[in-house]
Amino acid sequence: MPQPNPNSEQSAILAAHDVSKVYQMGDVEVHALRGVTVPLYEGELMVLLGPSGSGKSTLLNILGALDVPTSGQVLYRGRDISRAGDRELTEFRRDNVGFVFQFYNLVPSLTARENIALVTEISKTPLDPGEALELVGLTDRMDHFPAQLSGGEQQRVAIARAVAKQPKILLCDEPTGALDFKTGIRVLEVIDEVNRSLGTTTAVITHHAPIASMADRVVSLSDGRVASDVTNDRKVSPHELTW
Amino acid sequence: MKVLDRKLFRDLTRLKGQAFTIALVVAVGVANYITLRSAWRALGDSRAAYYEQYRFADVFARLKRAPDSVAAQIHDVRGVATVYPRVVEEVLLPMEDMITPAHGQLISLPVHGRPPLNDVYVKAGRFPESGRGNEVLLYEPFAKEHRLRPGSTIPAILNGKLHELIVVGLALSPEYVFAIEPGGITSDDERFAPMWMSTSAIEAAFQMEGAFWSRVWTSARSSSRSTES
Ligand SMILES: Nc1ncnc2c1ncn2[C@@H]1O[C@H](COP(=O)(O)OP(=O)(O)OP(=O)(O)O)[C@@H](O)[C@H]1O
Ligand SMILES: [Mg+2]
Repeated sequence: MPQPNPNSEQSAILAAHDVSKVYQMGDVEVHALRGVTVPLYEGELMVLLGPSGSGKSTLLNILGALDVPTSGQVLYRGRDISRAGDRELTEFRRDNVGFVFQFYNLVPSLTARENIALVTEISKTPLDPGEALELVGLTDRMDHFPAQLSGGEQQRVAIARAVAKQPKILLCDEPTGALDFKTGIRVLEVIDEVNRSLGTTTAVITHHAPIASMADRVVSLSDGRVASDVTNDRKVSPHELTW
Repeated sequence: MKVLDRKLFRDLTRLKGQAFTIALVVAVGVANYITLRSAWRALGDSRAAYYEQYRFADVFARLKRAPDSVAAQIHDVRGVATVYPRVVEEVLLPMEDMITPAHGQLISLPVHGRPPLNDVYVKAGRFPESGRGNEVLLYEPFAKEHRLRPGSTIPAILNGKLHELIVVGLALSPEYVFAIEPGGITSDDERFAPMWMSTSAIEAAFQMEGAFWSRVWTSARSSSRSTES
């Protein structure tokens, strides 16, 4: 069983510690995670790789408190949140975590700016919606409805919405999964920009191994276990990526 | 929550067809409810007015036989404003247009004036006159069923003897809004006929002496329409 490094534990803002997740499907038990220990260090950009079904989404959902582990701990700044109540988890998510999914989940009847305002209206220290859109390079599409935006633009609005509340942590589950190469690169550039300029600790799930070279650290999952955890010597900027 | 309000407004505008239809259905429902409720209130009010106007009794008691003095005793009970003892007799009516006889109920009318309680509404004709033995007021629905009018006669068996009763008027009463013969379960206007007849005529036919009432309905009415009665 991998033990957390006590030194790195110090600077981990969020960490899964020996986390297992078992889904009960009738008589069958599905072991999605089997004792995963993964820290997320303050300010880093981490990429999570692994084949389909290896447990990437399950891990990210548990880290973001969208789901709870069957066993193990989730430590936010050293505090275990894996046994917290619904209310506390909701508060944790609202104040600290931004989510970006493969499908953008924008509200169709609200403009880009209004979709972001939906979040900034209930957050403590939000960016101005215009500022958030500027960050993702969509200032001129502010008053467009989702249906008037391309997939990549919608994903950038979704990222702007996720970061507008200035979360400590940004969790992205296959943000480029539905996009072509060029658009995908543009979206990754935005994530990289958020990570650099706002210092938001970021984890990105992807299927595409080449994307790993834009990360500070690359964690690979295989069959519910950590297969490797590597720190990149040199980080390349997204526009240099190819796949 | 301003943005959510805007979302709601836009979503509703987009669904304005459906929203309008739903609003219409709700409006029709509410309108129907109000209409029926007012009708129900109006019916309730007119029933109350009818009972009030015809002095419908609050309390009824049926006795087989009792001396006259009992009425005075009842009148002394606290809260009792009016006591009205009457004679009610069951009679058979061997109607020509029916195989089995119909049931009649002869109800006494006071010698002078109108009944102090449970008054009758005369729709056609007049009240029976005290001296004339066989005159009756007939329950209008029964009269309709048998095509009887003021001036018609009906056969009736009173105290074992066949009499010919003369219908002098058609009447309705708050007591028989929905007339059910004793022992019956549904209203049958063809088979059940309340009839009002002067006390002296009933007493003569049934050979009763004044000291006792026979098969009496006593009705009482409270001074204030309260729980006391
Ligand atoms: N809600 C659930 N109920 C039952 N089994 C589940 C549930 N969610 C995930 N699983 C199972 O857990 C395992 C890990 O799923 P997970 O979604 O984490 O994989 P993933 O690495 O994100 O895969 P992908 O790359 O295809 O998104 C899979 O075998 C999956 O079938
Ligand atoms: Mg997944």
